Amino acid sequence: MTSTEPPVATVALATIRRSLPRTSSFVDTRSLVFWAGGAVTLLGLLTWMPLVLSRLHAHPATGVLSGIAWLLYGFVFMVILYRMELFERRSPVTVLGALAWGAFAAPGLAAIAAPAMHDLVTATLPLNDAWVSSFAAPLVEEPLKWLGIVALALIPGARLRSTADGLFYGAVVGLGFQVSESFLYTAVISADGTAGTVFAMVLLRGVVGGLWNHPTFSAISGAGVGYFFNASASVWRRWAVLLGTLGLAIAVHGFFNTPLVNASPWVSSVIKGIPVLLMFLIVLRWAHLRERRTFAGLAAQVVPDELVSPAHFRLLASRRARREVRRDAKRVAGRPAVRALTFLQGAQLSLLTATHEDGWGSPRTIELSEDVRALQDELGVVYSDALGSPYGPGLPRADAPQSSRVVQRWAADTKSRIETEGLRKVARSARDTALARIPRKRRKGDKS
Amino acid sequence: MNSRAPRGSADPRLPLSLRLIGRSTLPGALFIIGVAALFVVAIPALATFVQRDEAPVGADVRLLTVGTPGSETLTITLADNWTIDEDTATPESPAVELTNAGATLGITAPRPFEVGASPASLIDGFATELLADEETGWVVSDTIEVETDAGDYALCVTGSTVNTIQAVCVLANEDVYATLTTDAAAQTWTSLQRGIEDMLRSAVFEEPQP
Repeated sequence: MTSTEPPVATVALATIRRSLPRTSSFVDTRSLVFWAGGAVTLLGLLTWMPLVLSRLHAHPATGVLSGIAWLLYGFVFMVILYRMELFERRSPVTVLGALAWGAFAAPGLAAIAAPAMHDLVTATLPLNDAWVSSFAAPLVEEPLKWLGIVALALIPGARLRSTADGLFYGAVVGLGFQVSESFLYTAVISADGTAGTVFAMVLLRGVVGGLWNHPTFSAISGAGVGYFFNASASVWRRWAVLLGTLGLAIAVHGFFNTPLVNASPWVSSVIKGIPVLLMFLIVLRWAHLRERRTFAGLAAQVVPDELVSPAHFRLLASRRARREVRRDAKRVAGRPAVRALTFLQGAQLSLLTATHEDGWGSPRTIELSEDVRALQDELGVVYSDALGSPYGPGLPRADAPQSSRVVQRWAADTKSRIETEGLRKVARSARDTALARIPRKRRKGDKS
Repeated sequence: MNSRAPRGSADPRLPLSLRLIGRSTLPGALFIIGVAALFVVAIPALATFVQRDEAPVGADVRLLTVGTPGSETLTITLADNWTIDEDTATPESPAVELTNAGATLGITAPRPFEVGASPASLIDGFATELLADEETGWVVSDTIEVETDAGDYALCVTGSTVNTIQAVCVLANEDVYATLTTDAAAQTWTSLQRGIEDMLRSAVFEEPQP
């Protein structure tokens, strides 16, 4: 964040005391949304699993091979998704929940609704057969995937607290959907004992048509969900973004299914995929900018400088920056410094995350502040041994406290004193303090 | 460090994600169940309602006989929701087309093999035809064998693109055969496949009536 950018409202929110979620993940047994989501997932599972099991029973060898191939594909994409995160911080349990929705709930419900939607579109729209699935498929699949992201957002413990969170969980739900659906398609058309068809299907559905498929579509609608639940904008704007991004996801999915470009599958996939990919990158950039601005604001105005200062945040703001600092640390103080710095960077990011999610002063931030101090001390000892000074890469000298944080602390102290001591006493005390700062000679001169 | 206080720090509008904490979760749960019910109950019901006035010929027919009078015929028990395309439902028609959820299943009347032809050579021909269509880029499965309830056998191949599926089966009985060709969107194929397999297994060849 540059000094000319205005701080975002989410930074101010981090200073407000608020209730905390009951749980650290989406598993909140006292939330009816959790049980409703569970029931929908179970229904999806009961619809989807017989289809999967019948394929595994008919062609066990290729069924298992398809499962392994698509799980590997999903794992690789999950790693890519994690690499796209600015700050590693989402709960693995919640990520698994999002995957389960994408893999079971959405395709299970879609298996019921898709044939009906095809009938409905055929009966109501004057479309050529080739165009029916470009309307029917996205109208079912996109809202069902979107529903999983909304369910997560409705459970406070899932901590879907930013546009980037919505985008991330959207991509995870979409990945679960793509792996589950593609596994079934692959198992369906692969006769027993032939790996060739399995790999051809992985190439077709995973590479030719998969790189900009379901994860991209639902990441776009997920970003809208994240915005709706976290922005402080007007209700109309939030609803417009929520429904607009869902509409955009449906539109790009439909565009991808159209028979518009009938060249070879590679060519048509690239021609259709590039606009979709560009759309995704724009949304990703928007979400990242909002997230980075929030975290920079937290470092600058909420979290004390000795824990994460703006100077620290500049070194934490991207994976590349963090890697370069670690490289510098290794150069000047060897592997022990890299190890200590890696833990310190993780703790500082976790502290910013906890400040964003639960607010400054929450039990998590208190605990993580202690962690950061301990890790700073540990790194300082390593630097002292190697360099003769406790400062080094990733551990710069703390800036002298100044600026808005001082003003904020003064305002908070004053407010607290007014509440306990009364306005008159605080005002008198402030007058005395101000008078005490005026040089004695000048005061005497004034009197004279 | 920025010298300004955070915007809105005096009275920031709390986002929905924070306002939800501690509130009743019933409305959210009802929303999730409601949207799910829309897709599982309402849309299928609406599709049935919209199609009620245009139910094709044979909507209530459970047994379908394909073939011209005086020659060998093929009888199939229709799976749920499959209906006969009225344009093909004439006694003289050499083939009948069934439809369901935008998918079509074409069934030809039994006919004798040409000299030198066999189920394997016919199915290989279909697979080769699909593979030769480089523009569409089909992934074609290996041939699988399916036995009908009557003891006949069929050889099938399935072709797939990202969005569409085409499956062809050659069903043989001694010196005659019939073909079953399905075209469907990939999204509906998983739901329809079991019904198609059931219809294939139910196929019975019948001798010509005198």
